[in-house]
This record gives sequence, C-alpha cells and structure tokens, in this order.
Amino acid sequence: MAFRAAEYERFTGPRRKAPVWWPLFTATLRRGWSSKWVRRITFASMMMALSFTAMIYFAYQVIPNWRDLVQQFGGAFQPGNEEVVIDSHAYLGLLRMFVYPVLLPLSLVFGYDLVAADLRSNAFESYFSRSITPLTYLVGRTMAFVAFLMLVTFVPVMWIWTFDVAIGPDGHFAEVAAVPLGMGAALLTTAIMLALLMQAITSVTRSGIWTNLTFVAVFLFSAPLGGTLVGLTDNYDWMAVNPLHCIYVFSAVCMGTAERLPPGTASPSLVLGIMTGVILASTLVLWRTLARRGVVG
Amino acid sequence: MSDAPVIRCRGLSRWYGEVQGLSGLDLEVDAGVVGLLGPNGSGKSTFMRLLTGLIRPSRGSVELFGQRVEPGKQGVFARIGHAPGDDIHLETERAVDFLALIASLGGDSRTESERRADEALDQVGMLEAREKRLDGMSKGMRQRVKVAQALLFDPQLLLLDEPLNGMDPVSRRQTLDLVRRYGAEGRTVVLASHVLHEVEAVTDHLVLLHHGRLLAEGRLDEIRELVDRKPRRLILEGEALPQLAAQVLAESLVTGLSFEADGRLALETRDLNRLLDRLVELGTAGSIHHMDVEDQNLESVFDLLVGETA
Repeated sequence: MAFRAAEYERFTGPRRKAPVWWPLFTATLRRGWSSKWVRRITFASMMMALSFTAMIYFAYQVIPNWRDLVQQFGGAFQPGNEEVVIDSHAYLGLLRMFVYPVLLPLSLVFGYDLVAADLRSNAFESYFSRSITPLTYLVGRTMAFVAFLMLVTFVPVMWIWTFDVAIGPDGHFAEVAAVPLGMGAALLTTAIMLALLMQAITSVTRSGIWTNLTFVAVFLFSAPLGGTLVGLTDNYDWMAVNPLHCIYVFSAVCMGTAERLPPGTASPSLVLGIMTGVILASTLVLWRTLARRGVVG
Repeated sequence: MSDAPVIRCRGLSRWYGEVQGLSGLDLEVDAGVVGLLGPNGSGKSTFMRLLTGLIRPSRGSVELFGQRVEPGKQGVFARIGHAPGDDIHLETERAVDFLALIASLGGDSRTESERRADEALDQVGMLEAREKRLDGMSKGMRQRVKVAQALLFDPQLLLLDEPLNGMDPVSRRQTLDLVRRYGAEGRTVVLASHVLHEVEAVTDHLVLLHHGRLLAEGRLDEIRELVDRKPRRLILEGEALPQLAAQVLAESLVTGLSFEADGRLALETRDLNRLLDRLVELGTAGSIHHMDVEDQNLESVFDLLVGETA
C-alpha cells in the first residue's frame, strides 16, 4: 500500500535561526550556479584577476621601477598630457574592466529568467501560500543576485588591490586607501541597480528572451543615443542616458575623484539622481507584480 | 480551543476587473471533508486563493481558525496545506528538492526539510521518484507532488484544488483514501472538483458554486431534498403510451409532458413518489416496459440546481 498512516512526528527541536529569506537566497544561488555561462564568466573573472596580478609581479621582476616609468611617460597618452598617478582614480580603469565584460553579461545570464520563470510556472502559489511574503521573496532573490555579482567582481578587484598594496612602494597604500570602500560602494550600488532592473524587466516581459533583448537594447543603443543628444544640444548631461556612463561617473564619485573626470561627462548629481530613480522605479515595478500575488505582503 | 469554525466567509466577493470571480459568499466550514463543486470558472480556485491569501477579497472577509486573513497575520497560513490547481514548477529540478525548498520556507533546517519532504512523498506513494526531475514527470505524478507539498506541514486545513486531474485510476483511489483518512482524523479537507462522483466518493458534505455564487450547501441528502421539490423527469417506454399520456395529463401531479423522438414518454413532476403510486393506481404499470428517472445521480442534481438559477 503506497499510502501510509500519518505517523510522522512533528519536529519539536530548535528551528533554523537563519532569516526567512535565507532558503530563497540559497536556492537562487544554486539556480544561478547551475548555468554553465554563469560558471564560465565567474571563471573568466577569476582568471582576469590572477593574470593581472601575475602581470604586475612580472613587471616588477623585469623592470623594478616600472611605476616611475609609467608615471613619467604615461602622460603622453593621456588627454591633455596630464600627469599619470597610479592612485585610486587609476582603479577606475580596473573597475571598467570588470563592469563591462563581467558584471553586465553576468547580470544577463544570472537573472534573465529569475522572476519570469516563477511567474510562468505558478511558483508564487507555492511560495506565498506558505508563511513568506512578497517582500521576503524580493529580498531573498535580490540579495542572492547582488551577492553573486559582488563575489564575481569585487572579490577579484580586491585581490588585485591587495597584491598591488603588498608589493607597491612605501606610501602607495595612502594613494589607494580609498579603493576598497569606494569600489565596494560603487560595485554594490551598481549590482543592486542591475539586479533590480533585470528582475523588473523580467517581471514585465515574463520571458527570458525578451528580457535579454530589452537589456541588450538598453545598454547597446544608449551610448550612441547619448552621443547624438550631446552633439545636438552641446549638453554633456545627455551622456547620462547611457547606464554605463552613469556607472563610470558614479564610481568616480565613490572613489572621491569626481573632480578628475575628463571633460564631456554628465554631472555627478544628475547621475546620482538617475541611478536612484532606476533603483526606485525597478523596485516599484517588482513590488506591484509581486503584491498582486499575495495578500499577506 | 476556539469554537470558531475552521473557515468562515462573510459576503466574500472578488472581481477580476469586470469579471466576477466570486460573489457574496457566506459559508462556514468545520472539521471533515467538504466537496467544493462547480464547473470550470465557477469560482473554486478563486475561493482557494482567497483562503490562502494569494488574492485580496474585493468585498467581505474570510476567517481561518477564527483569525481574519489579512496583511500582517500570515501565521495562520502555517496551519494550511495548499495544492494549487495550476501546474508547477521549475525552481528546483528534483521532486525532493522542490519539497525541501517549500519546507525550508516554513522554517525547517536543511536536514529537517529533506526529512519532511521524504515523509510527504512517502504519503503520496512517490518516495521512489524523489530523485526524478519534475519536468520529466507525467501530469499525474506532478499532481501527486503538489498534494505532497500540501501535506508537508501536517496541516489542520488541507485545500486541494482539483488534485485528481491527470491521475491514473490507482493514484485517484489512493488520493481519495488519503483525503478520507485526513477527514477522519478530525482535520478539514476542502476538495475542489468539477467531477461530482469524485467528491461523492469521499464526502456527503457539499458546497456547490456556479458563476461565482453559492448554489447550494449542505449534506447530500439535504440537497436531494431540495431537488425533490423541483420538477423531475420520468421517462417511460412501453405500450399504449399515448393513452397513458392522456390519462396522466388530467392529473395535477404532472407539470409537463412530451414525447421523445424515439417514442418514449417524458413526464415532469414535482412529486415523483406520488406520481409512481398514481401510475400503479391507474393500472398502467403493466404496459410500461422500462422506466428511467432522470436526475438521480449527483451530476444531475448539479445540473438541476444550475438550471434552476439560470
């Protein structure tokens, strides 16, 4: 007889101490990690960090004074022949290296179907008829998304920074001391924005393919659009229509080097407003979608 | 222990835009198995979703165990097991992982949630399929996983939304046994279905919904009594039916009379037993070869009630 008497004794031992969103957090990480493209990009990011530190190491071995050489002659390659200083501002280039080829594609492959799949498969009926709320769901999913993005970008950058400080000359630490906090704040805000934006798009499109297309379209066409608008109006604030430009300016603000941004960038206050707006609007869209699915929220 | 009924709905209504999902439902349900009957679109799933807090009422209220279902009072849902009507689910691929995830959302540790998942799978006879991927399962197997999901937390109130859809006969029988057992243990089971004999097999307490309205509620015999006050059709086959028709037409017992295309005589009456007695008194019983009373099964009871309100 397949069906047995209900002899299961209700568990009376200590309950899990972790917060309610924890199971969704871990489930989201497992789901993301099951994608081979997520694993590939993660591996590529780690390899990039290792290669970079190996390059620094060998540069020291071959040309011990390479830093001085770069600072003396690097200005020739800078706009306006400005002096090159390897300090916090120089790390902006490193941040770009991890935002463009790592953070953006990772956001895409990790989150393209996150909410859409739950909508399509009626998962909310199972989630929300338990004692969890739409807010719990949102927190669990977003925290996992953001944590993974940070793991794959911030950790490698910090690895490079630690290596740089460890083998750099005396006084170099003071020049780059703002990097961990500044880079952390920049990447965290960017990751939160991307995670929420991606989930909001997927909750509207309810389709992985359309989410991908929308996301790519936003990031692909916004740069030429920004350039065109600047050309038409002579107002560099139009560059802020490009999310990548916003991320760049915002990172400089976080590093405390906004005043050293080249001419032709949007104003930091506008960028800050836009990023805050994207985060709030995405949260609102997500909240509306989820709140319709459960009264208990 | 509270004396409040397990489920109490007062004027419960829900609209989807201009479409009426449920309208002014007043209902109280206590322990035992209750059959929630109605055709597709009658409001069964809407009722289930309102009970589980998945949607808000447009008007009215719903109380579970004496507690009103509203924001901030989600604790009551820990006492409910719900098997949704819609097909699920992709979050985790294996049956045991899916159930363990739902168990962990209820506060179980990882080890405990897997143990609980196995117990639930065992109860629906799916333990052997614990490692099987959900997307590789038949519809019937996924239905059983959904039932297992509802059983996870040893619920006092079990809400099963058309759980038998897609199940093979053996699974159906086993699931009905499970429902019967849960009801006998003093729990409340609400079994939604549009197939009446499924429900009739496990309970005689019925709630009939139609177009979002409560059509009838009570015990099967009470509903039958209600039906007995409505016209019933008696189909007769035999000899000299035109003469018989002429005789009974004069009787006040007959409210309608017609001949079927195949020559059978159809009589409509509000008092079937008295009409049968009268036919014997008239001495016509011998000329009748075959007699069929329509509206005897539950399906017809439902049709009759629906017809009455249409």
